[in-house]
Amino acid sequence: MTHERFQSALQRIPYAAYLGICLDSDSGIFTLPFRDDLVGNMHLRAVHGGAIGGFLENAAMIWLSITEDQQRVPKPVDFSLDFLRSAQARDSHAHCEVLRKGRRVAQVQVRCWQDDPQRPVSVGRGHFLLESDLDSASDPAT
Amino acid sequence: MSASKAHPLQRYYATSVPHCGALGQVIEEVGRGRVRVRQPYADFLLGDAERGLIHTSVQLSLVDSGFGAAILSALDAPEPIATIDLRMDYHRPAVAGLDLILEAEVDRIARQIVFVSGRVWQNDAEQPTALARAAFMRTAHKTPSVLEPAT
Repeated sequence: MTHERFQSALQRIPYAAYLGICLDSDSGIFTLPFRDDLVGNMHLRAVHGGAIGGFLENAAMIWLSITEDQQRVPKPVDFSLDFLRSAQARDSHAHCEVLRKGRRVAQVQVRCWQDDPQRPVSVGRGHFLLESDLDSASDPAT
Repeated sequence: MSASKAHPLQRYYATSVPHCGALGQVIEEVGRGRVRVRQPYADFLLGDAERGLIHTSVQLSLVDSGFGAAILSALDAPEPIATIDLRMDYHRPAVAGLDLILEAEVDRIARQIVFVSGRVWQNDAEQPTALARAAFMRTAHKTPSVLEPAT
């Protein structure tokens, strides 16, 4: 079930598919496979902060879509990122936790690591608007 | 915005930041501590194919790299910098078919920390799709924990 919902989320979110985000259905762990065009600095060979940020934001959106069975993509209201260590030229992983799910807004925390889950590369948190009866394509985000 | 005389930052962006090149981001203007960067529209940038909206994460990427460029434009000599934190507020949807413009400005350069803010918009600078704010560490000055190898 999770796998089908993940595939359906990827179809609705072309940029998540472009980044190459994967999800392990059993563990609920997302992976961003390393790729040369995700590099932000040729000399340090570090993954671009924007790519890491996009990975975390997408993981949060997709996790909400899957766990809350949203038919439409949750709309990000805001997103905050702390960069704790530089992301090396290797795969990154992320795990999400929904700390609050209200009727209209959900809060999601995301933790990102590379080799060691105890040494996070980055953490993110954001608020997302869930679909409601008032939802329409022309609505502003807030 | 002269195409004839490229600012060194514009060349740097194009050649040394693969992710920005892959997304097609172009620095259009460089001032002292100020940049304007364009993200041309492309279908793969969509975050909601049904509603026809550009992904907020694309704006985040544009901000992270554009802020870095704004800082480099404010420094007398290039030095390594690292994002400490970044906050995005998504004020309204960014619609398919239109480019994104980032205007970023360095608010304060301290000895070790730099604060930057900016806005992203499409066809009206007064109607931003996102506002952003970030703090960066100047890593040349001290042994920075943010640049420690992850190992």
